[in-house]
Amino acid sequence: MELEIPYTVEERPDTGLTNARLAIWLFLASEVMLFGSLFSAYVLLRSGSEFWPRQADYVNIPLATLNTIVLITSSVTIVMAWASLKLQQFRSYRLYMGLTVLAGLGFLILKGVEYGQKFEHHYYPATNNFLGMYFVLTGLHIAHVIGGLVVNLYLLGPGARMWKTAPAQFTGRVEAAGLYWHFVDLVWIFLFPVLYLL
Amino acid sequence: MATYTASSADVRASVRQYVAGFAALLVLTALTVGASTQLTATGSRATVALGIAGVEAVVALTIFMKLPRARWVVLGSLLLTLVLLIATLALPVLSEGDHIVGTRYRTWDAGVAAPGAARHEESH
Repeated sequence: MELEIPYTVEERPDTGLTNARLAIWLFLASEVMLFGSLFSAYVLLRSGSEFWPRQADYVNIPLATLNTIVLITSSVTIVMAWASLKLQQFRSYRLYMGLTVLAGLGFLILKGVEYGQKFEHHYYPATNNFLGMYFVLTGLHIAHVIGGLVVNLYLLGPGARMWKTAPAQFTGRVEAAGLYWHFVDLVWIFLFPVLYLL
Repeated sequence: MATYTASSADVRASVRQYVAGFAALLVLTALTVGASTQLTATGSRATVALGIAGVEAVVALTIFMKLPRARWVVLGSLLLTLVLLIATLALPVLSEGDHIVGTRYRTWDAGVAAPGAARHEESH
């Protein structure tokens, strides 16, 4: 007996949303609280600190700027991947999703270079409060990028088979993955000035 | 499948918005970096940088995530989250400012250098 899950494609009459869309927005709301509490910890530590190091002495601004551009670009490519599916252009979808994955990997490589520079200078989370917050916030963000990459890789590879059997549901999955990826970009938009430019 | 082809025109129009949003985000990022190099005071740098980041967030939310077109369930959940987030941010800031005069330990009162300062100097 096959049990069909309702509202994977049709919208629920009461909410006007599919399961995936409602779930991803609620998940993102919880993520706002997670990162929000950490930003709050940063504000508390910085405002209550007798001494706060000059952040620019510890971070690599050009590399972080490049990473910002890479992540913004990936936000556009993932939304183009979704638009390609809406326009029934599966080849374009593969191209744009592939570019999104590459951009995500590029972000991680640049971040790895940046972390390497920190460790070379013996800058660790215990060095001072700024570096403690820097590693927690960027580390958590990296974990989110890796999570998004895994999902995007699945949707590019084995998960893409669903396009042949249930295209509307597959498009919904790509939309949910895209919303998550935009959120990851959004977090970085705030992390960049807070950790690198202030 | 019919619903896909019916919304093709909308999708094509959206693609132009995505490109415009991408360009706007790049310009705003350049502005943030430029402003941070020009401004010396931390307060004004923070105001400008976070202000621009706020504008960037609005661009991403409206163009890429299409938040204005979201249903009430989504908007309501996000509004509740925003209220809780503001409370989360406000509580520590308020508690930090709420000290009875003379009760807060300050290392410089005891003539001792802040430990962070010493470590920072060592690293240079």
